Amino acid sequence: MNPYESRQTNIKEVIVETPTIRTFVLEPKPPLSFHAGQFIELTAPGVGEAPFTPSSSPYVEESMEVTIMKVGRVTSKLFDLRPGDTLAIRGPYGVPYDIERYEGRHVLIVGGGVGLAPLRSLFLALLHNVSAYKKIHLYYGARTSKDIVYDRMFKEWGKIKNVEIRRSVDVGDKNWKEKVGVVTVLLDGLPFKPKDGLAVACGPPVMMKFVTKRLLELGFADEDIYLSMEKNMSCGFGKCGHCRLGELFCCKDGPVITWDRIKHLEDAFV
Amino acid sequence: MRSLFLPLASIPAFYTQLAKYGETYYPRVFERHATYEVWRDEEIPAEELHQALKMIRPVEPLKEFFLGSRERVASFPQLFSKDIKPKVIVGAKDCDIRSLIEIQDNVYLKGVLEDPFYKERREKYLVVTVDCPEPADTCFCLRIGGKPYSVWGGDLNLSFGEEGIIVDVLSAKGDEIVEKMGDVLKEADKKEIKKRDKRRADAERKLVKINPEEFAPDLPDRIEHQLDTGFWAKAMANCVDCQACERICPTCYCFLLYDIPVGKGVERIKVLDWCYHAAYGRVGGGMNPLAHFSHRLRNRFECKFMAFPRNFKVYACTGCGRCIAGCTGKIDIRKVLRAL
Repeated sequence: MNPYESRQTNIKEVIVETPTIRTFVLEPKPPLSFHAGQFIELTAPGVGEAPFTPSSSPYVEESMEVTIMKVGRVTSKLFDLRPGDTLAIRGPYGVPYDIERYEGRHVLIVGGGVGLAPLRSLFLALLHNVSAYKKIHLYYGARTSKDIVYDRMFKEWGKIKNVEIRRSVDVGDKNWKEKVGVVTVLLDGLPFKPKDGLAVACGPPVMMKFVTKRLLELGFADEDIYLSMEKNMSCGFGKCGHCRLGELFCCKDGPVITWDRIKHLEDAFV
Repeated sequence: MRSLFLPLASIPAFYTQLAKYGETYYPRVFERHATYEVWRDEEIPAEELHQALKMIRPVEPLKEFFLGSRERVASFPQLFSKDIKPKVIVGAKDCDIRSLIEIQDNVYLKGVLEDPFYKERREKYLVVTVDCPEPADTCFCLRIGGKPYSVWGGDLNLSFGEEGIIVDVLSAKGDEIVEKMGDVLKEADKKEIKKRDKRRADAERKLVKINPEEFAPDLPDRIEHQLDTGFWAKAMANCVDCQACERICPTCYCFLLYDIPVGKGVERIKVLDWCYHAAYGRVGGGMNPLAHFSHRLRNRFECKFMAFPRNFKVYACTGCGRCIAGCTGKIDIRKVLRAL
């Protein structure tokens, strides 16, 4: 087996989420199965690779959704692709969420911006067995109401028994009826005791830093704070060195790492 | 362990015999340094070859044979294959063989996946290590877990007696090779081995003289807590960012993958990468946790002397001294470690 080799996959559909975020529906053949929390390397033909965490349910095998924000060279090339075009994929890599640890507890999911994409995969995996958890709390913050990803799905998710949803935008507008402020405002008035639950967060480094701080203030245990530490993951299997974080490698020890494993690093969120 | 004897005059014949196994590289003195050359049955005086073997480690780190500085690792959708032929490398010192076994093997052969090309080279290449009887001022192997001689890790080891070279057989592959060498090798006598052992002890004494101080045993903790960018900026004040230290380091293992379009497909290239590069830590969108040079300086020490020993119980440094010898700014890594 050659771990450097990618295989081609067809793009079935491209869903425009926001002006800068799209969801690519891929059909890898044979299907590429993964667990929530694992990531893949996508190749933009002729340009290069970048790591992404699938945003679809790991229980759906025939297709895989990947939500991507246009930020650099690879993602710009991906945005030129249309349904029917091909790209290349390899993986999955990384350690899945240990969701069996979540059973019987409150699960707080905190996403910022496109950081909701990998959390959606976890959220959908939890929904697969929703009664196993005390309650799933999906808290999401975006810059403006136009930057909200999966807007079309929130209504449906809100109807699910055992799911609580809160949303905020940094800058409100006249049509926005929900919270205004950075995502940490959603953590005020938490409807459960932190010791009865755990928290999972993904978003830009500055958001992660302040969410972690707030979660600790609220009383979440270090080992109950799950953070997506997605550094410059290149090879995906712990060889190339780029994603080293202290003594861990985000690609093989993460990308989801609990706070107790990195709290000794003063520059964890740089 | 089986010990044989190679008369000095037979060194060229020994190389010729090794070359039957695969392309053979041997150390040759170029100006004041040893570098690897391909053995082509040339008429080189045995004494010249002997002197080259006694030099400190060759300029090129051993990893260059096992991790090409640039190699094709995949192509798709077109099929990909790689033909790795056997090679023999003569002249690796203990610092270099340890860089393979204790560092590169841990990275490339262990963990979730192994690098198939590195693995195949490790299986096919024969390494002949050589004692290091005359350590240089830049050498500090003894202070970081090594020795000026190698008794394990390679396939054969060459050491220096009075009249010739002692060949220790260290692996089954090495044994197979010497079996086919006919009368090039003789039985080693005790007098020669005794002389060799004395030379080894002399080399160790010389290393202690060069490096009288031990390093602090808690280097990982000292690095973890040294977050003052001012310390790193001062310690590395003469650094001109030439990256020579990383390029010739036998333990640096980082690489970068990039794709080039070929026809309707893609070729994936793996190149060795260096964490002093400004773009080393950059992610999509331009954010870079190692944007500042002092962060990158610290990152190198953190990788070698904090992360690696915590993961593998060994420093990612073998004391070969190449980074000291090659530094444009005359920075001595030993002084930086002692200042921590």
